[in-house]
Amino acid sequence: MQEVGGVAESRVREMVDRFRHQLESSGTVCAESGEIAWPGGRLSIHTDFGPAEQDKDMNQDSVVAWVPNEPSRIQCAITVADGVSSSFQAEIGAQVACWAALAELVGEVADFDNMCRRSIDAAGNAIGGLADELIEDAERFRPASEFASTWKYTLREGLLLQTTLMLAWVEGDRLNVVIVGDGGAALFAGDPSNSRATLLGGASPETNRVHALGPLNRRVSAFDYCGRVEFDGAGVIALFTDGIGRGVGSNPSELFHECVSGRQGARELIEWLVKERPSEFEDNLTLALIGRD
Amino acid sequence: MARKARQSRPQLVCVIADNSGSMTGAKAQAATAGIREMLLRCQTTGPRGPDRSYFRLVLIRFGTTAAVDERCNMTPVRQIDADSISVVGDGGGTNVTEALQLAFDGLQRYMAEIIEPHPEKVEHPVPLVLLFSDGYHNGTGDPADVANKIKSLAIEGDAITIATAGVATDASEGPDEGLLRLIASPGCYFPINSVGALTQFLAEVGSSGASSPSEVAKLVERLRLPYKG
Repeated sequence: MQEVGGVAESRVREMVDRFRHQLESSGTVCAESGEIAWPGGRLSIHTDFGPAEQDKDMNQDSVVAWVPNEPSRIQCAITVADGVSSSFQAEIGAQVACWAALAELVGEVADFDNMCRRSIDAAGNAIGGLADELIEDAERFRPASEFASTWKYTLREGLLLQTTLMLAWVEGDRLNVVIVGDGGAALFAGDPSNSRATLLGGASPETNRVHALGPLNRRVSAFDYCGRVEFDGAGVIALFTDGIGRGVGSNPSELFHECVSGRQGARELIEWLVKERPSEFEDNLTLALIGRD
Repeated sequence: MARKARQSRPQLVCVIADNSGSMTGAKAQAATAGIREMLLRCQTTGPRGPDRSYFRLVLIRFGTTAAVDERCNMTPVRQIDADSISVVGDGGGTNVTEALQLAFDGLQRYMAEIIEPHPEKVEHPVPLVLLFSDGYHNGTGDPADVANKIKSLAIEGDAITIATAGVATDASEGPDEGLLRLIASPGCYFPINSVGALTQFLAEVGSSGASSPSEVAKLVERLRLPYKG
C-alpha cells in the first residue's frame, strides 16, 4: 500500500515532466523498460520488482536512457538508480535522481570531470530540494502512519529519498562512467563467443553500508567509480544495480552470455533470473545494455 | 547461516533500566535519550511501512520493585512512540534480581512460543538484553543466578547475549562492577563515566542487530574508546 504523506505524486510528476521535456527537446527518451537504437547499435533497459518473496513492497530502482536526435558529442546516455530500501520514499529519490542527472548531462557538454560532477550534483540537489520542501512544513507532510517523533528523526537524519546513482555515456570511442554507491558495470569487448569482461564498480562484500545521495549528502565528496574506458569496437556494456551485481560473481560473462551475443535483451535476462534463480537475485533488478555493432 | 532480522523474524531487544532514586537527574535524562535514540534507529531500519518492524522491544524498569512497561512488552518498534518513553529515577531501591526474573520469564515464554516453532528459526536473530545500573543490588536473591538462566536460553546453541553498563558519572557510590560483569556475557560489560556515554551505549548496542556475544563485545570494545560526544 502506498504510504500517504511525504512527497506528493503530483510534485514528482511535475519534476519528472520538466526533465523529460528538456531531454525530449534534443533526443529520444526511454524510461523503465524498452529498446532504442543509437548511432552505434542498440540500447536495452529494464527494471523489475524481482522475485515475489522478498522483504519489499515496491520496485525502488529506476533507469532512463537517452539518444540524441541529431549527431552529437554524446551518442547515448543512461542513468540507473537504486533507492536505499530503509529510506522513506527512496523510489522517488531514485526516479528524480535519474532524470535530473541525465538532463544536466545532456544540457551542457563540458569536459569529463565537470560533466560527472555537475550531473551527480544536479541529482543530489534535486533530492535535497524535495527534502527541504518537506522540512519546511514537516507536520503537513508527515505520513499518517508515522509518529511525530519518528518523522522528525527521519527528516533530521536525512533518512529519506536516498539513492545510489550510475551515469554512463558514450562519446566517440569511449565509455564514460560515474558511480555513487554499489551499482556495477561490465564491459564485454570483442567476439561474443570469447569476449573479455572488464568489471567497473560494484558492491563491496566487506560492508553492508552503501554510499548514497540524500538530503544530507547532496554533493558527494568522492565517487565510488569514475572513469573512461575504450569502447571502440563491437561489444556490450551492462550497467546493473546490486540486485544483479551480487549474483554476478567473478565470471560475469557466464551471466550475460546471451545478452552479449545479442540473443537476449535486458528484459529477457531479468525475466529469466526471476524465474530460474530467484534466491540468488532476491532484490529489485535493473539492467541497462549498450550494444555496439 | 547468518542471523538477520527481517519483518518475518524481528529481533527482540530487552532493555532493563535502573530507575532507582540515585538515577534522578542527568543520568535518567541520558538513559531516556539513549532508549529513545535506540528506538528511533530501530524504527528506521528495514523497508518503510508501519507493519515492517525489524525489532521488538521489552522495557523493564526497576527500583525497589520491577515492572514491564506495557507499551513496550514484546511490541514491534514501529508501534511505539519514542516520545512516550522515559526513565525518571523515582523507583526507590535497586532490585536487580526482580528485573532479571521478569526478563527471564518473558524470554523463556518467547523462546518456547515464538522461536521454537518459527519456520525461519535457523536465521532468526537471537534476543539481546541490555541492563544498566548505577548502584548495588539491594533486593533478595542473586542476580547473577537469574542472569545465568537467561544466558542458558538459546536458539540452536546460540545463546542470548546480555550486555551491561555500570554508570559512574558522579561522586555517588557507583555501580557494582563485579556483579555487572558476572551478569554480562563475555566481553559485554561497558563502564560508563559520562552521561553521553550511557546514551551512546543504549542507542548503538540496542539498535545494532547484534546476535552473539562476540558481535556485542566488538561493539563494546569500540565504544570503550574515549567518548567524543
